[in-house]
Amino acid sequence: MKSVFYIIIFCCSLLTACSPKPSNVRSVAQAAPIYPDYADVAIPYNIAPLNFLLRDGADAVEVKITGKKQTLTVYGDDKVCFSMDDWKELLDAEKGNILTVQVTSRVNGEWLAYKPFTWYVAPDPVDGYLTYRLIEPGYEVWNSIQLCERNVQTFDERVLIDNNTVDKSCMNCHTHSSQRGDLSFFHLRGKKGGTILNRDGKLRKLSLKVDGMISGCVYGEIHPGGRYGVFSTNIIIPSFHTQESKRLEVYDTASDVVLADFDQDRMIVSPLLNDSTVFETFPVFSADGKYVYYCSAPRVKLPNDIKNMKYSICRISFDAKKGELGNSVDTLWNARLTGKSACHLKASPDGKYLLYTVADYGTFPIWHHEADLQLMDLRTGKVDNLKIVNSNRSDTYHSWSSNSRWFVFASKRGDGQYGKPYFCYIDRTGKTYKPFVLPQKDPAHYDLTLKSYNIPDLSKSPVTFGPKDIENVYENQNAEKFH
Amino acid sequence: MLKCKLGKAITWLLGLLVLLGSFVFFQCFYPYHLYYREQTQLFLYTSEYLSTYFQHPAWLACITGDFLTQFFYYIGGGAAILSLLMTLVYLLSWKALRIYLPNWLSLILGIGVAFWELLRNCEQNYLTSSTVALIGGIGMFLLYALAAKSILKNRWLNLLIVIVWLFAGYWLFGYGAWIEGLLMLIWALKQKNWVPAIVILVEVAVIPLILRPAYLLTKEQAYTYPSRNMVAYPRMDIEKLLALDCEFYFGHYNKVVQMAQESGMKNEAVSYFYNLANCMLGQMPDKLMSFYQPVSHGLIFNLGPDTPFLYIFFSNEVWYQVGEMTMAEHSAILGEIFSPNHRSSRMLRRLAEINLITGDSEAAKKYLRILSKTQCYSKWVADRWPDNQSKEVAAMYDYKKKYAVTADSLHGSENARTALRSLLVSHPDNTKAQDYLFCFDLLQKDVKGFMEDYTAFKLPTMSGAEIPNSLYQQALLVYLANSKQTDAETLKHYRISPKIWDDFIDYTKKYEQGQGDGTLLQSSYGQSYWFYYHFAEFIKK
Repeated sequence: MKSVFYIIIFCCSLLTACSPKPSNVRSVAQAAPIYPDYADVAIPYNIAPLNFLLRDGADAVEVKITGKKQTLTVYGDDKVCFSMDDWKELLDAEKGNILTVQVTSRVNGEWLAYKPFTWYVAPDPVDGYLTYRLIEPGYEVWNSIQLCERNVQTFDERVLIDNNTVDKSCMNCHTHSSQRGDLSFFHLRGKKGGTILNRDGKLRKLSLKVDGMISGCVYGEIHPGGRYGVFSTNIIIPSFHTQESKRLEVYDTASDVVLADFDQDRMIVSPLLNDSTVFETFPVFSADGKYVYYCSAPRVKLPNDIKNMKYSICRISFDAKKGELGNSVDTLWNARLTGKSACHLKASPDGKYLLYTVADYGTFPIWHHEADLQLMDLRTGKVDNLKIVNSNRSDTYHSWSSNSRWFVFASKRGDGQYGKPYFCYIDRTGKTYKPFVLPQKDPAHYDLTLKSYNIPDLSKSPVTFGPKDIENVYENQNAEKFH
Repeated sequence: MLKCKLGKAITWLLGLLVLLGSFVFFQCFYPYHLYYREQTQLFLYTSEYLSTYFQHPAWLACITGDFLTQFFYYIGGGAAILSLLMTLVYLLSWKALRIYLPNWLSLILGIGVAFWELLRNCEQNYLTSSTVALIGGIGMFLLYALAAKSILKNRWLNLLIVIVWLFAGYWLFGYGAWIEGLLMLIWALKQKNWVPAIVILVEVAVIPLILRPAYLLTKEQAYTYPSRNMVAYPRMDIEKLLALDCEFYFGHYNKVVQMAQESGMKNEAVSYFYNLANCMLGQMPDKLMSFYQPVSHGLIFNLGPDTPFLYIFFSNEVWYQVGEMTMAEHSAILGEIFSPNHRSSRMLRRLAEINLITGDSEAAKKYLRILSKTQCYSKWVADRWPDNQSKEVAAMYDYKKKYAVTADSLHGSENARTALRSLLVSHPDNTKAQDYLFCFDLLQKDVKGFMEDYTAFKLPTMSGAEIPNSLYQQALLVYLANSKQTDAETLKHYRISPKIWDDFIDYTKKYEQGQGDGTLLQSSYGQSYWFYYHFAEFIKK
């Protein structure tokens, strides 16, 4: 046993000896050209290692992380990959502290010490599981789609369902309720498709369309109690912009909001949410389930007046005991006054905030460069423009961690084509910090992937189904008809 | 002794025949298919990319096949590699079959297997990894046979090896394990080893089913991976289409026109390249009526759920050439995602170019970074890296940047006319877009639309002495005659030449004489727009 230990030590020494060490270092004033951009971000103490690479043509690098209690030094070529154990130990020890990261790289034979940057190790953890849809950004067309779940504390990713095994059918993104792995849904299209409801470990296939609805259910969320779901029904039209930078515009020519009662297999319709002169969409429940938030815009002539299509944020009460919607609608954020259009609402689990996306116009902002996140304090109505969070590309499709201290969103920052999940910390005072992209084992992952990460959604626990379960439901279960 | 030597000589002679025959076939009759195969795949020299091969069975076959396919980029590379692989198929098949059969029969069957594999390689989206899987399967059996003869004397050890070896065969070579299993089964039956025979049968049937959920494959895919077809035959019609695409890509426009004319084919894709090449040569309206025109489908493809992949693959070219980068990007992304493994080197290059032209250098770098990890395109990338482009490349993209759309509007993917009009609203001097728009109108027999577009985009840009192309003059006359505006002043305004006017009078006279019968007009006016306008029939598919 002892000899094995010495062999390991010897091998480690050999490996360490192989890593070039900085000498005759020249300090430079510029920031380290690292990718992904992890400079000066806030990170949860339970996140996987923030591996990164250098874009300065380096052939050797030393990274020294200094905290209050611990120091970690790592060597690499042009990539910096941390050991999982060392990383966990460091972050556990430095909860609530600021780490200083010194990058020294060898470029054309010369060692350069870049300006150090910091990592704030937030004392609040992020939910451990993240689901997303991996899809090539083919506008309205798809070929290969996967719903995946990533353990954000490690690099483990598992496929929840691959459309290869369900007749290449389209699949919409997977949405948890109350950040629970055993309460979620997604729409599976195709001949044998339906809305797949995952409730308490049981899978059901539902046909959420009844006479009078303009379409099947599209965007939505499940009530925290699990009995109800609120959904939009939309006639969706994709169109192309002639200006290259804008690419695709997707808009509704009609949309309403409906509720589904999963216990009694019935749809609940309120005339207040089914006004043909108004587009209603993107409904979600408040944290306590007593309200439905949704977006609403007066009908305009499309596509000519697309730039006048601006959605406000509205709210209607909901009585879960009776399964009834209220009889009045409040406007929380008025598009007429702001001149912008809101979409993708998400209420924080502590009930304090509403996070949403704002674009110049329309209802589908993923190709709008100006689409940004905004945060409304539901207690005061104050809106934070989240300047430190947003980028010059589309930032949207967000979800909260169960402790309301973190949210994740899909951002097309950088290449503008491929969405990537970014995590943002919001402290107890409501202050937000610079977000960071979901770390990958190989830091070149985002450079090389041709898949976009759609609608990242956080959960405290892993989803309770796998690909075989969904294939089984798809092939063998009849969709339950609602009335 | 002599017989043995003769047998060996025949074996190697046949091997040489397979080698040369395959090479001649692929290089002389099927080269464009091989180039296309390289264009619709991408092999990256990165650890993360290589690790993706383990997500499916047959990782060794796939990694080897894709690695080899990248060399199809070079002239003769594809033919050389495939002919070597066919020879290997022949030699291994012969070697495996010789264990059970007489030499002469093994030789014939070996040739047969190689020929079958050659035919399978004629399918346009066939993967080299399928051939490697076949070779791997036979190779696995030969290794087993070698071991069984020498070291596997213990029947329990033999049984264990059978189980492990078949599993390994599937893991490494996918459907190649079927071939391996079949040969091992015969071996076991010949030895009267009934237990291994049953184990082989069960294992071959069960392994794909057991591993299918982990590999996320359908049942059919699990049994056939990575093969896509069991039988195929040479498709010279597709070879001609791929030739047009390839020659167009390399800028041999005159050759494309000539090949299209000599193809003897009447389909949308041939017309598409014929028109596009003529457009590049500045002679599209001159040549439009002298070739088969399936309404406007030979100008721009309408992409839908039933569109064949080849049309999707070709479709970005026209948008790229006329300067409509949104549609070019859309088409290129579709070409990329519908490529056999969702990775196409050609489409990635096109996407990089599009973003370089639109000035989105971050998006361009995304694609350039991927391409920089390849064997064949790193130099191409170096020439195009933003802020570090060669002069020729920068000039080429600057020229295209000139025609960027400045006015924004919305249109559906099927509304080509709006897209073309938008190009001209921003830059009326974009002659390629002009020709496409006008020809699009004319082939749709929309002379009213043509007149609107011509008046909006052509008339204001005409120089003092410019005479319109005879096709456009003919179309103008159709509109003017329909709206009874053929007075001298109007004809002068539209610069209708006396010759065209005289022809029009003559045509009209003969048309009226023929009372709708085009026979009289065919010889003199068969290639006029008037004839197309009167006699071309639209057949709805």
